[in-house]
Amino acid sequence: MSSLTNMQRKIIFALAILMLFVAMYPYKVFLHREAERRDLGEATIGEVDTGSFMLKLALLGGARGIAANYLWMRARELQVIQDWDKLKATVNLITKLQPHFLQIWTFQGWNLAYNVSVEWDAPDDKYEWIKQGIKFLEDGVAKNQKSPDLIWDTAWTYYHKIGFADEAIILRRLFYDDVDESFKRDPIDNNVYRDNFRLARGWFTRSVRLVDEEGATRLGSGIEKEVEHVDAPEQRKGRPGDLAFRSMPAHSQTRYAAGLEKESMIGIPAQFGQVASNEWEQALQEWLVFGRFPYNQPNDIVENGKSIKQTIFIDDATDFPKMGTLHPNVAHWANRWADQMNYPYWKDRCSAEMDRDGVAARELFYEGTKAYKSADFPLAVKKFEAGLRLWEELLKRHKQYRDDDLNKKDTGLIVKRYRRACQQLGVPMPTTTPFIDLLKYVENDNTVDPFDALEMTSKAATGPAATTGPAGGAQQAPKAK
Amino acid sequence: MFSQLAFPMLWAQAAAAPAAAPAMSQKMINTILWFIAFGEPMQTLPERFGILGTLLTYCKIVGLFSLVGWAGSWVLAANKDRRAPRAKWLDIAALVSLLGALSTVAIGVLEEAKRIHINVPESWGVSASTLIALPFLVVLFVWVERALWMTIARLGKASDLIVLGAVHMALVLGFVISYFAHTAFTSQKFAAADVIVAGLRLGATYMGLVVLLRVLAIVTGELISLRPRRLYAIAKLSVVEATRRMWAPWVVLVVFLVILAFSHWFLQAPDQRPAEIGRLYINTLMMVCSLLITVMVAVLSPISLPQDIQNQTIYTVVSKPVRRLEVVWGRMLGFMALVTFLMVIFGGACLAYLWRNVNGTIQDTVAQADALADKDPLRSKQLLDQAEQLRTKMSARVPVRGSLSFLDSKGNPQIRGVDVGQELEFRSHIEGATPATAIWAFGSTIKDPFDPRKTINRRIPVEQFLKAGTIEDLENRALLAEYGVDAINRGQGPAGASDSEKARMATTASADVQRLRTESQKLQQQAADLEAKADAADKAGDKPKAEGLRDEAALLHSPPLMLEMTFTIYRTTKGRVGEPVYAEIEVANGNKRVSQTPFRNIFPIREYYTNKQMIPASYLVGSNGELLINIRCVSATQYLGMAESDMHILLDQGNFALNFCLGLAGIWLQAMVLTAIGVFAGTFLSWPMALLTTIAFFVAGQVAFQLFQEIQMQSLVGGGPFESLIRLLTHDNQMSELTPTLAVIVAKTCDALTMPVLTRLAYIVPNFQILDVTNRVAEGFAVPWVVMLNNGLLALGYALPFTIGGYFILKNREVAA
Repeated sequence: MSSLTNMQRKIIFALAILMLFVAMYPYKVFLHREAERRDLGEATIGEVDTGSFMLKLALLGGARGIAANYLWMRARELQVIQDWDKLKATVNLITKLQPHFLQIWTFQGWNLAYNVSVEWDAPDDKYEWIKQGIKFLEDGVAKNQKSPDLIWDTAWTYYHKIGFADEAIILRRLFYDDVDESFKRDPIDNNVYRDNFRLARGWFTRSVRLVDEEGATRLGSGIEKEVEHVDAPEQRKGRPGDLAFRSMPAHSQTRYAAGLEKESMIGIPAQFGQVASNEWEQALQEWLVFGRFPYNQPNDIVENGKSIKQTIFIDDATDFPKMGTLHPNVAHWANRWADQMNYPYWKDRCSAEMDRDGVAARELFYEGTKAYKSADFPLAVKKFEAGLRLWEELLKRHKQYRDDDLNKKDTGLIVKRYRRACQQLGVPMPTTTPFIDLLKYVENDNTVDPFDALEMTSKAATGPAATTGPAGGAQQAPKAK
Repeated sequence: MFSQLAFPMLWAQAAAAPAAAPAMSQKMINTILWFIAFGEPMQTLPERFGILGTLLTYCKIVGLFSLVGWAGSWVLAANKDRRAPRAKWLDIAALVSLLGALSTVAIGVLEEAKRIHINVPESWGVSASTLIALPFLVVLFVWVERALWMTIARLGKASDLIVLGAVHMALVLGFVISYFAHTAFTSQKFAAADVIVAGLRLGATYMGLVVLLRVLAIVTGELISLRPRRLYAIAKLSVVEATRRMWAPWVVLVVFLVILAFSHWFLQAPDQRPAEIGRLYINTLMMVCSLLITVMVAVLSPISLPQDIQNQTIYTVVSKPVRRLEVVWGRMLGFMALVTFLMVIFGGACLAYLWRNVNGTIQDTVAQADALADKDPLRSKQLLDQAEQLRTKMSARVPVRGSLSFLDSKGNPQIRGVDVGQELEFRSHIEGATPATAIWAFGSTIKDPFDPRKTINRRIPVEQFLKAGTIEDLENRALLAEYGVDAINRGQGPAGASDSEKARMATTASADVQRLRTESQKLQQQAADLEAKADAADKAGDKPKAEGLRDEAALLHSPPLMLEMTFTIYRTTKGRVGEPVYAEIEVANGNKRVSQTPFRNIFPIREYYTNKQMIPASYLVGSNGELLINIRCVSATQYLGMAESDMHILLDQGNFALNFCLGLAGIWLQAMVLTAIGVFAGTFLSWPMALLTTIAFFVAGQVAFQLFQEIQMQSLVGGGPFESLIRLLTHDNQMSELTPTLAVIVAKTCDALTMPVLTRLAYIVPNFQILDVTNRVAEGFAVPWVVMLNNGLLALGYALPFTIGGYFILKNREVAA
């Protein structure tokens, strides 16, 4: 080498470098192709975030784990010292470092929406934090578009945290009034809805569709089989046979329809007529989608020495003539799962409620209750009486719904209120009153419906209405889709 | 140390009759106490001596380090000095002794783990390992002594010899004091081991103080010959060097601007709740400034001197009549000038950034709220609340804090309220709809709730709250004058004044009272007239005029007191959905002679928001700064949580920009300490080592200071670093006893050797976090000047010894290596 001049040496080095680069190129192409094949590219998993990319670059990859660990501990400390906003900022930083680590999104989204929100006393602050939690989850969805779990978590938070909280009537009203359209945009039809249950339906549907369309390939062959992960991401939602998962769109739509027919948002009057009927019909459709989904049988059936594959439709359980013709195993599972999900009840309920008589009866009950609460007892008695007659006629056509315990309690409470109205009026309740036998189920039940502002607020006129803003029905009702 | 002689106890004993030692006079005992105060490194003066105690402790610690440095440098000189006759056998003995002394640590560990047992009579008062170590230590001591005497006798000046003599006398003094203290304060029989150990501790401190005096003498001499011109020249040189060699300030500036420009990538402003944007931005900006400045300093300061030495450019400097202290301090000045320059730019840019973003957010939020006022009044109010919170945080509030005590739900006084089981134990709670009360007391002599024998001063500065010339001010002055007259009439009054003088004073004061009352009544009449006119204008439908008149009337009064509260809520039941928890406030004048109906109000509590209440200024009239504020929770079955700092009276909104600059000054102080460390490291290490040392100091000071403190307080569970490593690997918890296997014994021995070193680190590693006042700025509270002064002194306390240490090293080393 000593015989080489400086210049020659430089040229040799330069050539060596160049050759290495050239040799690297096919490898790079191979890697890229492989990543694409196995669906591992950053861009294919979800949205690429510049901040996240820069941060990872700054930490040179290696320190990322340490930094993320430290931030997790810091987040926990901040939660203990109740510094919520710094907690949110810290959690955001973690997601910048590990945007495809699904548990962060799931855990911290839940933490913000459930644990942090509960620490704040005022309902509007609670709402703010639930919204932060949901937006956090939605951000996670944007960055991991192929995870049905995160979509399901988002849907669940819309559905459960807003719709089933103790303050649900206020939270739902806050959601109704929220001007942030991006927060209320349905991921399926892109419309803006003012009801959290309606929106939850869209998100649940999106999760179910992802499992049906993409999830099968990605989760089946992509992650589980070919790629070896140190901590393999586990899909929690939408596994084969996850009945509850598939029933959620129907549940949310049912909740939405039922919510329309009472004052489920403080200060927003109930809606009936064609609007309510349509929503109940939609709910029925959702239940039918659920009921007509082909499930594989969970057990092995060997006939004639051969293992056979069977498809089960839950909806078959409501079709008695057809049940007789089915293979005993198929019939067994259809029946068992239908019972498990209380499918016949929901299906029949939706058909009953969507009926013109059903909606009319609900309207009469609502007006009766309103009259009762405003001490107009003659009117209340009249409305309840008419409503119960209509209801009786209707339920004769829907025996499944009528005989379900849920309905017995529900209708029993209406009869009970009717009796009270009669007592207030000083007249005895007629013994021919329909469903009078249901009174025995609710005699000791003095709870109020926490999702009906009419019942919740009448206890105290100065209550929530005074602190949460304008009561009264001046606002426009949600547009039915 | 004497086991039963905790120092506070000593002072208490001294105050009482010296029962244990009737032979000794009180004067003698006091003298011994003072000697111990000066000599015992772990003890300081009682609280009543104020800052003196702190200073004394500081001197003792610096003294001890000086002693180590002084002895070390002479011993080093002795070994470098080739001309001296070498006593080979002594060197070998010393080496063997050193190893022997270290191995006795292992014996100690084995003994503790009960693996071996060496019988030593209990009356000797020492463990076996100490006994074994003793001869080794004696040999080492002789070796050091020989080195010191030989070297100083040959190389040292007369002053060095004097210091050497003084140091030995100090050691003897330590033993003498130890002996006397033992006889004075312990009734036990004489225990030689105790006296020797305590004597060594005291003696070492005295020796340290002697060496410190010597150091101070040298530095004073150096200070006198210090010339600003040369300092300036060196400073300029280091600035030019830093700029030219590494482009340091420009690099830092560019990085700062780049981060600022892309800050929204990380901060995600649109997602944040508007109320918190200010705090988030301030914290982030301060962190960026601090990080950039400290990184720059940590890189620049340690490599500058070593590179000069390596490139031999130092020759041109040291061959000029430049003093070594000037070389060190000049560099410090130069780097600090750079830091200051950058800080000014950073400060300006940060303020502009905050102004644009935060004020922009406030305006946006208010505009949004206005737009929504009709459509969504609830959201609109919420947004206005958030804007208000943001404004609160973007100020430099000066709070006046009271002293908090409680009444429990049966009405009995308590130090704390109810613990509702939260992880955060800072706040305690009062139960709703019971007599449970949180009482904030203000005044100059409030009983300390934690120690009823003590009083604390929480006086409200009435003069600053009552505007001069207003009704309340006049009334206040009239009342105070009246009290003066009353006092004279009761036969009190200024001491030393004759009766006739007192009578004359009473007359003038009475006249004053009359005059002030008349003036006040005149103003009150005026205010009433204005109110009447305003009412008339209201009736006539002229709203603006009425408002103007009411404003005018308000000007005759002092502005009301603003109370700010941040309470938390703990609900045992949900209560009525959506209904807030209510609190009752009751404010009473602390002066019982003023008959005034207490101010009462019931208001809803908004959790995590700053709740505000206005109290009429009239409650301060005649109060002498005493005020009682009672808070009760009105809502049954609910609890209100509070800590002392959760309520204050707002004295001033302050100037945010100035406060922000004080926050930056905190970073400046951090940079100063770090520069001193960097320059110090540069005086004796090569540049990579110096760089690492500086970074290690910085990281340790930022992250591990608490750990060092825990090590020093011996409150660390689970043993030292080596034992912890074993626990980590074997998944043992911190409390479990480890089986004394070979590995455990080795680890414990290593710990026993490293822990004393780590313990001392708590004194050297600067507490960077305490210099950081960012949180206070971000929370919107003014940083008091006294805190800045304290921090400044602390920073100097760290920086000065480091630079002076650097000076001595630079002075004694051969730069032309």
